[in-house]
Amino acid sequence: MKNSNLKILSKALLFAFLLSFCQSLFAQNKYWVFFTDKDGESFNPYEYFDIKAIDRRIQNGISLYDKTDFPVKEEYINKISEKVDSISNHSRWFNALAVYASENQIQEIQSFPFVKNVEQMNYYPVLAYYQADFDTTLKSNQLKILNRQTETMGRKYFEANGIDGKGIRIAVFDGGFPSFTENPALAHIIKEKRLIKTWDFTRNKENVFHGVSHGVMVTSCIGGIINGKKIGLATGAEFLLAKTEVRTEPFSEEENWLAAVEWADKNGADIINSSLGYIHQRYFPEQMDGKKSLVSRAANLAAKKGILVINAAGNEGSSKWKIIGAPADADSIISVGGINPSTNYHTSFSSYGPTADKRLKPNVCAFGHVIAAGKKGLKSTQGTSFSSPLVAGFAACAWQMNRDKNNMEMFSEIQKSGNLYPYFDYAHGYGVPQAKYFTGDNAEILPTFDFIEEDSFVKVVIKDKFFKNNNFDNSSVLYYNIQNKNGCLEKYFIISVDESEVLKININDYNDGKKLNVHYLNYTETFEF
Amino acid sequence: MKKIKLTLIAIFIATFSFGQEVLFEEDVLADTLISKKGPNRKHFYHFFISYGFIAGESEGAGSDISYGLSNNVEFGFRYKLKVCNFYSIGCQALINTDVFHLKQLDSKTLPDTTQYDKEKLTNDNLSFGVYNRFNFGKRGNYIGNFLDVGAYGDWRFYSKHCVKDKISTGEMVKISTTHLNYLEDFNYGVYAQIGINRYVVYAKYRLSDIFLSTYSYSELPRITVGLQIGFHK
Repeated sequence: MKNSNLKILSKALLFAFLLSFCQSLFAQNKYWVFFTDKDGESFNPYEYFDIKAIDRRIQNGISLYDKTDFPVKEEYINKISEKVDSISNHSRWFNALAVYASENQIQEIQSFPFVKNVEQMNYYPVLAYYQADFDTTLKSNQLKILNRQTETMGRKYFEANGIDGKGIRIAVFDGGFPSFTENPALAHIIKEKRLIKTWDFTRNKENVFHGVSHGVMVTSCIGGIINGKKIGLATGAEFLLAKTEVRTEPFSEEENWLAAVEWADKNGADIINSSLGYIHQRYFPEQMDGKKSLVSRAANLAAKKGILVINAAGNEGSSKWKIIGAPADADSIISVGGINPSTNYHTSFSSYGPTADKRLKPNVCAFGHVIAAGKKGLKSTQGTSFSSPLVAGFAACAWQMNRDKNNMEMFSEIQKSGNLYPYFDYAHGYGVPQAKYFTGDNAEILPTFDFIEEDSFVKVVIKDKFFKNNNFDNSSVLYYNIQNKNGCLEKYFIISVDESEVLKININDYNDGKKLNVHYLNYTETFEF
Repeated sequence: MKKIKLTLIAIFIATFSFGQEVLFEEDVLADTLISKKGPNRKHFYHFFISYGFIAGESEGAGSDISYGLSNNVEFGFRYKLKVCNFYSIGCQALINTDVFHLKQLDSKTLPDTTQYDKEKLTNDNLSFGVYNRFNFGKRGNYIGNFLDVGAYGDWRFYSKHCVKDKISTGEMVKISTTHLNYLEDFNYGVYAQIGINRYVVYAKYRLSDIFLSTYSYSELPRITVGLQIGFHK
């Protein structure tokens, strides 16, 4: 090839590269356009909602004619569609349209009197998925984990009462469900026709059985069973599967999440399990107050409509971000942290609380290292993505036993069932939910330690009976925290119990109504400074 | 010996005194302090690496270069001071190497008219630059999309002229000449770069001449275009 031709070719390639780079840099953005009203729109809930959604509303005392369920005004949709390049979705709850538009078009749209405001769309969500170990055979330690991931929540108590989440409808939002219909660990769901509906919000098609296998593993942790061994607790639950995430598409996930939550509501979901998290790409940690992000507001709105939303706390515990993301920061949803099976306390990657406005998060925790059913077999995997479905399965069973309770009552009950309750901290919440709380098998809680004041010190002394019985396993660690007068924790610790006089604190170091909360072997007591 | 005994006793006592092992500890107050450092905080700094190609025309027939082979490599450290969400200023210090592969044409005059199998001119520089950064779009603690416009100055600390030739015996002869006296010690120019977080496309334009005015060499191409990766999240 001649040099001149080479020059032209290299220039053309360079130009094409720069052009594509610039296109991606300055491409049209995606926006939410919010409207002022829904005046004049009519709505028939009996046509729109699944019967289970109507039942849930009646049970929770929620109006069937809530304005947020009314459709977006056709007139507004038409006017906006004339001004933008395309409309990709809409939200009844937020009375909004998702549109592709240029900045000029958005300026024009903002001048419409019926447009309340316009928000640029979120992007770059992070799946609370840490890493996968692709071994297909289970070693003895893996078998132990499989057994313990549900056992630590009290599987035997639910099983003894014949509880498996029957009658509870769980919507799973994830990145894909390939091989779901052929997966032996989920075969019972297909066989018993408990896969109610599916929708791929990334393509607007019914088929969700493609994409990343994360959704299959997550669903197995809710209600999977293999060779008689439960992977999750809710093996009798019904499922709605929504594919909401596309890793290669940076903009659509938040929009899909919003669309999916309305779809789940419409189709009668009792519980939503989601592993989505928005962090530094869009927000600062100090903005994680449950009000800033649209997904957090949507999650709260779902809770107002009677749905129990369960979300992974996130896997940022070891990163600079460290705390929970959105929507795990929403106040009405259960955020689930992860614990390490080998220690039974916080696993390093699990995101910490509290929220920016100092509310408790995560609310509860479960195993963050699990055995899940992958595309081609059982796998070791880790992430709070899997802690969340374990709790979702638990919640389905607990709710099956308490159908008279609404979602927020269940929220509160699940927290109360935590193995640390009433003790809490920002790594574990109230601890791992316990089935025996719901089945009435709770043993009497005996004081396991005393506070002894001596000079200017307070000592925590383990009672002989409980120290002698100490077998040095991981359940006999002692948790303590320092709580300020506003109820917020300042510090929290876990220590080993190697001596009966386990803790000695200088009272003069703490004043202003601060408290020392201590938890040891199911017993919690508070010392006020 | 007495000291060793005392130390051992102290260690023994300490072991028993602090028998309660702290397995887990979190200080909430320390965690919730708002940092001033971060990709979209007041201060941010990071390292970066770049690879680019010399582009544009030589200013005369005697200094033609081979495009594609002539390149620029940089390794640097960048600081950014956020003024507002849309605008930042910053500076950067880097080491860069420019390699000009000279075409062996009859018209060649740089540095002489002799033709070889391969010939290149290498400049190693210490560089300092200042820039304005314009950010686009909403973002959190994240670099996001940006356009930088800045200026730079280079101090050449090393230069080398290198030729390779196959002689009649079939052996390859390589001759390197350093401390080239026909090059300017200092150069300056302007640059612009567009980036999506850590991925950046940059273009530099050298305003100064590379050769001393006492030499009548045709000026080498002034433009460099390349890709850069920032070492940050």
